[in-house]
Amino acid sequence: MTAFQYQPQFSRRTLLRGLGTAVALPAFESLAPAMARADSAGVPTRMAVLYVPNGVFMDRWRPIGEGRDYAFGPTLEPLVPFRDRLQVISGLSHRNATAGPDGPGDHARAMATFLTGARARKTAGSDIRVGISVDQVAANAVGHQTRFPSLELTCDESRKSGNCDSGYSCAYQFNMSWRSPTQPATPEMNPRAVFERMFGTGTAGERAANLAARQARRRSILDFVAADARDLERRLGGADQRKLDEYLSGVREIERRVAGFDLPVADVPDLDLPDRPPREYRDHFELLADMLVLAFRTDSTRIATFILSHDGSNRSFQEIGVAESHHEISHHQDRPDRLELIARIDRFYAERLAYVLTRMAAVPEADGRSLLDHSMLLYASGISDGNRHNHDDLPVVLAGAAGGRLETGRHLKLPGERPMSDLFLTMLDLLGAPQDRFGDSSGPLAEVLA
Amino acid sequence: MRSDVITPLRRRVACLSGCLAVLAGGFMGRPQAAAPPVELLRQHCGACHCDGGAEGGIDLDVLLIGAEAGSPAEGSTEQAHWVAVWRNLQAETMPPADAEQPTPAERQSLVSLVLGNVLGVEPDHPDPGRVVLRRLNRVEYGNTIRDLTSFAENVTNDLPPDDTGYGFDTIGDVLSLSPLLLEKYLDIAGRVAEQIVAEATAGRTATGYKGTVSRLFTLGLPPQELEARPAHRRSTIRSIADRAFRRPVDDTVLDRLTGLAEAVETSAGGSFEAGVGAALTAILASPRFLFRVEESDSSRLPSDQLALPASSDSAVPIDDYSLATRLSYFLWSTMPDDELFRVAREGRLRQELRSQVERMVADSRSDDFVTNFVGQWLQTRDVETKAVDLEGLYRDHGRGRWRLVQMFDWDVREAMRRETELLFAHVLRERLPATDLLLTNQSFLNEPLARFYGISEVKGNEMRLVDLPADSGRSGLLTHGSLLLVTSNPNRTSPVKRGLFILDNLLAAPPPPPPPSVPPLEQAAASAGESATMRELMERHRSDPGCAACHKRMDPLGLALEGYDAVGRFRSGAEGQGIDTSGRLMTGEEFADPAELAALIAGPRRQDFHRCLAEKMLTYAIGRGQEYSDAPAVAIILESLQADGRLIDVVHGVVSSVPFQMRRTSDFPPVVSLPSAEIKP
Repeated sequence: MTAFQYQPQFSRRTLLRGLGTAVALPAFESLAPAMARADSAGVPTRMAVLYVPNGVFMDRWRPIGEGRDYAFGPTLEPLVPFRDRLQVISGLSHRNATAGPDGPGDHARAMATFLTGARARKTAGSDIRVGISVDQVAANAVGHQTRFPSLELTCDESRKSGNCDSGYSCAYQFNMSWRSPTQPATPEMNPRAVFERMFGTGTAGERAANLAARQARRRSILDFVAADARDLERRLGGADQRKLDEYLSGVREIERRVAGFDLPVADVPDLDLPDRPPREYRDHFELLADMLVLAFRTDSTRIATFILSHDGSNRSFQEIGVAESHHEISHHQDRPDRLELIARIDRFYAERLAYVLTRMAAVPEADGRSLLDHSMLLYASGISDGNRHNHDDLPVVLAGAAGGRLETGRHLKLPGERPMSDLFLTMLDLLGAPQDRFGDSSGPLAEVLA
Repeated sequence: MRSDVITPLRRRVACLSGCLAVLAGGFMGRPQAAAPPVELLRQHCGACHCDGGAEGGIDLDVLLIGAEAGSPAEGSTEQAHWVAVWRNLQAETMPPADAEQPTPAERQSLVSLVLGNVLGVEPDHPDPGRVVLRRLNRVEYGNTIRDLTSFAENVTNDLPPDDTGYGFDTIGDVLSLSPLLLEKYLDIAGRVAEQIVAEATAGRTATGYKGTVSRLFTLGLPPQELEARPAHRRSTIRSIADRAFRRPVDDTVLDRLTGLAEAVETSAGGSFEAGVGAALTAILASPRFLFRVEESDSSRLPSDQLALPASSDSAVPIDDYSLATRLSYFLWSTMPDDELFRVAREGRLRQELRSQVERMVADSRSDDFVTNFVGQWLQTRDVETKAVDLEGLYRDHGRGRWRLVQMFDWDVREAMRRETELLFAHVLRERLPATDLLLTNQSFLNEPLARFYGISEVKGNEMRLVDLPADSGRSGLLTHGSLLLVTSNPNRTSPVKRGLFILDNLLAAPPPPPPPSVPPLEQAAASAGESATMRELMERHRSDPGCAACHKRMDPLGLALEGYDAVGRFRSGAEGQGIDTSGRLMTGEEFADPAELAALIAGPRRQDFHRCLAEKMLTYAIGRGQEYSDAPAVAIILESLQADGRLIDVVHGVVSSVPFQMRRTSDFPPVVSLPSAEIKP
């Protein structure tokens, strides 16, 4: 396949890494158990969300059989080793992602509604509005227990120019996590930046000192900028003040972290991370996934969201022999050759999930179980069948046992359609952040519980 | 609905007479057409939109009754419907192409009716529109750091990509500031200051500072006498803050900064340079640096403010510093230079506006404007990263396949991007008509690109202006590799995408979005047969009435470019035989090939092309989407382009427009008394 290879800007480190060899973290067995403090309820529960774009070929995704007596379809076959540590759920939907009064724009809506359950305001750029996302609701409630309330990651490297989906601003399509109805939580794309943000720059010996120095520097200017911003606010009109509020909430967030979080920063070994992300998707993904798992095991955060690619993604997958763009062929029109390619992509993404599950299952917790046992990992798309663009019967895998409170080892086929927001209500409850309602919820999804 | 209360006939009479009473003056002072506009509206639109008909949700009877009572409320469905009516009339997409069309004069009076009488737009009371506090986007941020501090590293790529709106990354509403981003700003501020301090310390001589840091330490070394040091420190920091905040710094803020600097300087191991470094870190982290804070021109009296129609608000000019900042970020994607600051300080920017714009365009810093504007308007930013499947594309080319695959390489892509950017820069700086972008028979080529285009006699890697041979198949934007590449699929052309690109980006006439569940091209292939041409495959677009309305507009334009493959290669000779590139615009004009299509856009549809350029540039410059209330501003720009239609006049038009020069008074906090305009030295 002589597909065009984009020439990256090389740093020497990237050159050493090569094009296609992943950076492997040291085997987890050689590291101490996860650092999460056991609180009065035991080891804390973690929440992770992995988003898969453009829907899937549902016939191959759907498990065969339901209940405990089920088998994976071809697409989810990479998950076989984890059969008893996850549940596949059928029958969840996102009503607010449907066309309804808004007409075209399913990809923007799929993304915007996915973690918010809200209907995005259809605008190309003025008055962006959707809703607060479930991970941020959780972060507001329990995020203070860790240094970082939450972590947002994306494997999308660049954005295309020009317009996005059908009159929706690109903000809706490239962000999954929303701090407020009007402010997205920017995801980080560079694995090294994720690492340095959590643990500081430099080698193992230098990092702690560098981090401390960074905190000290920040402390001194935060007072200044906070006072400055409050002064400035008085000189602005109403709409401008709301923009400045984003800045002020960022200041508060950083102040909180700088004010001396009393947990020691984890002592992690040196990782030879490239300056810029690897060009190969698989390598880029694995580095980010490693960072996610590292964040959990060091208790730097307990809430993480990860965009595998934005909805509407036109990525092509040379590495598995798919030269066409994902979005183009997701409109498969039941043609066998297209379905074959889509199924290949779906399976490729499922293999990535298997990678994360493997990593998480290998991290021991204080009570002898694994990080995966104490987590809830949601792997899903905001679109069901890529051809029909429908938002019911969504493809959902819920991995992990949340400390034994989630049922595993079955295909949960819900009798009717339930809002995915109901699942979110239950997840919030399991995290210790119960809410009366969320998004378009009708009530908790008790069916997922053990 | 009131149709069950008022009989249709009575309603029609009530509607007509009431609406005739609504007529008052024409829009832009043009004479009324012979028939009253409301009657024209019923005549051309009534079949689908009156007497109970409400195609597309537009019921003109209801709307007209509502309009009698007054302009529709801001944000109401009624307003949205009227805006839709206006847009479709303006773009000539309504009445549909197969219906009887109003004459140009009639259409103009219809537009006046909707825009003027119903929506309440008054050219004498222009609404600058709503803009919100804009933060620097990552390109602007990187450039500003460079120009303010001479920091050697390009920090743009340390920041995450910006969210975009309306196709641009300059939209205030969409440019949000998350904690993650703020952390990055703080980190970069620290790094920059650290380097500055190191350089200043190392480059400190007996007489001053060596190197680029001297631009920051403008007052040189601190004086020997201790009592003179505070003033020196204050003046040094003031000069940095004035430039960083893009306006004279407040005393309160300056007090805080000097306090910070003094504390660091007098601490153990501190130094004057370290103190200034601490102040610099705080400055670079400040919202006054990160956001473009604008103030109104306090030297203007309340009576200078222009009342806005249909509201209690008014429009007020922004002050010279705000205007200088808008100018520099528009034309250079960076902070104002010393000259702009000087002119703003002297309060003379508006008198010198034209000459400043000319200076800025001629300056090489406007290359950033070209790269960033053209990069997003014509999507040349995507040229180098566009996914392409060359082997799939040339699968059927037999033995010639390898040569074709090799020909389209990295150098060709880069040259394609630069070809389009350089042409725009050339037409801009040489004061050529904007339509030259479409009609020119010259282009910027280097050897790799020329070879790809099949043009010989161009040697070397530098891009240079070349006359295009008549048989090269190249002339103007429509045949630029960049445009042809970004509008294709990885292994085949997409005439629909190309047609859409032309409608969106050259004619300001985007069609409504597609209906859901549209079967792709390949299904048509299944029924049409192996050797069907692209044109034949797309026949379904025209035979299905649900598809035809929009595809009639797009497909012919894209099919005109079918002579160029998915990477923009010209299909010459036998390969090009039998490709039918003829078609007609939705407004009726016919063309036989891309050159004739370009001539149509540059000729009979020149107004649309100018409108498109003006709207795109206004969006980019002002940082918000275009609303109906911008119609007068756009009309003024179009007026100025009537004679020569120079591209640079679009820039002048944008800069002198009301939306660029003014803001709504309600955007600013209430001013109790007018302070005297103090011009600080």
